[in-house]
Order: sequence, then structure tokens, then C-alpha cells
Amino acid sequence: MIEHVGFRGDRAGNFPLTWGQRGLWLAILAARGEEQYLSVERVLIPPTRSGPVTVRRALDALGVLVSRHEALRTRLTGPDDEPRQLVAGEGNLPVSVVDSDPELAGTTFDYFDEWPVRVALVTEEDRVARIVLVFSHLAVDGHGADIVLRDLRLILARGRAPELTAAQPVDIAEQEASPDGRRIAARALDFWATEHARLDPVAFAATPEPLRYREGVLRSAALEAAAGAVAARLKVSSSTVLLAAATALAGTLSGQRVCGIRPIVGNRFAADRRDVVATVSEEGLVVLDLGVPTFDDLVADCWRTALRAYRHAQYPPDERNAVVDAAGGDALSFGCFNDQRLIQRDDPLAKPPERSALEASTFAWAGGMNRNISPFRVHIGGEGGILEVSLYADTALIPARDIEEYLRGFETLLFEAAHGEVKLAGRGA
Amino acid sequence: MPDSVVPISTQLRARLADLVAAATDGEVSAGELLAGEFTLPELGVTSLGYLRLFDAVEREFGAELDPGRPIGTLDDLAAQIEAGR
Repeated sequence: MIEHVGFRGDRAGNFPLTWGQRGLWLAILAARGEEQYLSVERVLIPPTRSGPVTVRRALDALGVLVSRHEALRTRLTGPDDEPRQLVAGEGNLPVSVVDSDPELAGTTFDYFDEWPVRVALVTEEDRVARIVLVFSHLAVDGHGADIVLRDLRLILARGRAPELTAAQPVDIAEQEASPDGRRIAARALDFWATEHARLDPVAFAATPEPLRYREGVLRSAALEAAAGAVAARLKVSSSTVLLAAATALAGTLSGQRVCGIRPIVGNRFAADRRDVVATVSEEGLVVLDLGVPTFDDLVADCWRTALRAYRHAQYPPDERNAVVDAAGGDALSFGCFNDQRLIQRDDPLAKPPERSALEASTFAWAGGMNRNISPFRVHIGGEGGILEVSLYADTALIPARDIEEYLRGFETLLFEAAHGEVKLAGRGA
Repeated sequence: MPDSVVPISTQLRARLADLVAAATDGEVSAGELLAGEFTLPELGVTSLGYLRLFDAVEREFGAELDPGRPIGTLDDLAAQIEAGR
């Protein structure tokens, strides 16, 4: 059954895209037809403290939610190559009411005609047991989706969410176009130009395979434990350890001593950006000299370097691309690196894994997508004590067999580093 | 150091301690920072904490900090603000 939820907001009209929306739009165009991988899916178990949540209550709460966040009632308008954001002042959101979990993320969004959130209420008897939401990544990034969920939970529990103080996407676009925004962009673009110039040329190329883009996935409890143990020993986050390892291994493949990787940066450091419901994440550029004595040294460098990179990840994507293209040559950074773990709580007392734990790791090829979304993309995920690392790569750059080797090497490097210092010289970089 | 500087410095230290506490969502308290027994990394200030702190400092003091330079103490932070103005 489909219900419709009415919403209404103060602002309507069409406005320029934010940098985050523009970056996502370029990613969508690159993957056109297969960009479902960009959708952001969340499930909310409704709070029951104030009684069971009926379909009516859930629908009312959704109406308040979509009225509150302009990102959830924003579509695109204009030509495909230069769209603008179109904010609706009012409308109706279709909501499925179903008795089993639906598949909402299987098809691509129609960014010009469809609201950027699909919702299903999964009912058990006369109450809503789960609210399934799938967002277009143009509307929210992972953090933005989590804030939407927090607000929905509060609206259901208390009848209202906290006062809205964060900027909406239209405000963000306005800030980005202001002198202050241009200053931030200029600083970031300078940083990209300087760091990109440090990269060594890439010395590798392969013959494209019939299935040109391949993705391998390693699932490993040993890797989870190893990353945690290295992080605890070096007093950094496991994310930094994984970023350093991803870069070290990329350098092994590319033959670069100075190698770069592009982590996805949340861009929520400013007080007025913390609770933004929008896509504000963009790529940063971390360039590391792999010619340091040990992996521990590399992690320490990575922490400092990443901090600088995270400060320079707000820019108009087209201008960033122009800066990188203008640099020309064979220098290449790899991206993106995306640590998507939902829960990141490192244990400061984490212990290294036993060697036997390596035997339980599994490698598999992920299905299907064959699009030029990136020549080299590392994703980190997993939960419940298992770390999942995937590498999506262009076989014109890396033969499929090296994708598996990269992931196995990732695990070996961190396993060894968890048990002591690993010398980097002679590892091929 | 002239006496008149001391209250300003104390005030600045207190303000910086508040900014660090806010940047860490209170995980690190202003009191711990002012006690000066442990450094910011020892108190568990993460990358995210530093990034929020840099932004807050930039807005309040108009000083651009170099994230590549380590900030261990409130005095380091004050010195960087002075250098970054």
C-alpha cells in the first residue's frame, strides 16, 4: 500500500548546486545506470517509550521531517551537464506500507522527478516495526543520513526535534560563493596543486581485461584485530592505520615512492556544519613519502599529513579536476579511500591477532558494476569484529590478480605491524 | 614578563581550554587541560577534535594554524595562534 505524506517549507526555487552536490553529480554521471552503489540506506527501529508507533504517527513524523530538511525535498532542474538544485515549497512524499522488508535501493533515483528519499514502513500487527529509508547521495552523505535518523527518532519520541540551526544546502551554496567560501576554495586548490606536484610518476599499466572494472573484497577478523592493535600501540585511530596501509600497498603496485590517495572527508569540522543534512563530504589528498624506515613511521606521517588534507577538502570539484589535469604527466593519486564503518570505536587495549586467525579470512569478487567510477577505489566496512576491505580497480591499471594480491598484502602488512615494527624498505616501493 | 600580561595569558589559557573541551564534545575537560599534567594527545584528542579546534581557533582569533605542526599543550596552541595571525 502506498500512502502520501504532505510537507511544506519556507523556501522554494532553484539555486546553484553546492560543491558536495556537484561532486556527487559527477560521480553519478560516471556510473550512470549503475549508480545505486551511491545510495545511502538506513533502518530505524521506532522508539516505543511513548507507546507503539502506528502508521499514522510514523507518517506524521515523516511529514515533519521532510518539512524540516530542505535536502529531502530537493530535486534537480536544468541541463544534465549543469543542473541546479530545485527546492520544493510543498509536495507529497509516497511512503510504502509493507509487512516485510522491501528492496528500495535496487533502482537508480530519478534525480529530476523523484524525491531524494524512499521510505517504507514495515508493519507487524498494527504497529510500525521498522522504518526503512534510502536516500539519494545527492541529498545526504552518511553523516547527514544519521542526523536525519536522529531527528526522526526524536520526532517520534517527543513530537519534535531540537531547534534547527545547521545550514541547509541552499545556504551552503551561498556560503561557498561568498568571499569567505572562495578563500577556503583557493586555499584548498593551492594545497592540491602543491601536494599533487610531489607525486612520483606511475610506472604501471596493464592490458584491460574483458570485464574491465573489477572489485575484490577481503573479509577478515585478523585484519580488524591487527588494525586495532596497531592503532592502540601508536595511539592513533584505526582509520589512520588503514589509510597508511592502503597508501603503502598502492605504492608497492605503482612503483611510486611518493604516493597519494584520496580519502573521503566528512567536512563537518566547523560548528555550523556538524549537523548539516546535506552531502558535504569531498575528497582530500594525502601524499606520503613511502621511503621512511618503518610502517610505524609511515603511520605517524600519515596522521599529520591526513590532518592537513582534511583541512583542504572543500572546493568546487570542477576546479579541483582542472588543477589536477593541468598538472598533467604520469603523476596519479588513487581514490577514493572511504572508511564507511558505521561504528568506529577503537579499543585502546586491543591485542594483536593470532596467526591462526588469518586462515578464516575470505576473498571474493563482488558482482557486477563495470563503470569508470574510479581507476582505484578502496572501501573499508564491516562490523561484528570482521573488517571488510574492497578494492575496485581498472584492469587497464591493475590486472585482476593484483587486486587480490593487494588485499592479501594489506592483511599481511597489518598483521606483521600488529606484532612489531615492519621495515618498509625493500617492500617494493 | 610584565605582570600585566599574566591575567591576559590566564584568560587566554582558560578560553583555549574551553575550545578544546568543546571540540572534543567534553571528552577532555577544561580542568584537565588547565592542570597541564597531560598533553592533548595523551588526553585522547583525536584528529576530529583537532580539526574542530583548528576551525574554532581560526574563527575566533583569525589565526590560521598549520595542522602539520604538533600541538601538545595549551601553550603550544597559544604560540601557534600568535604565529598564525
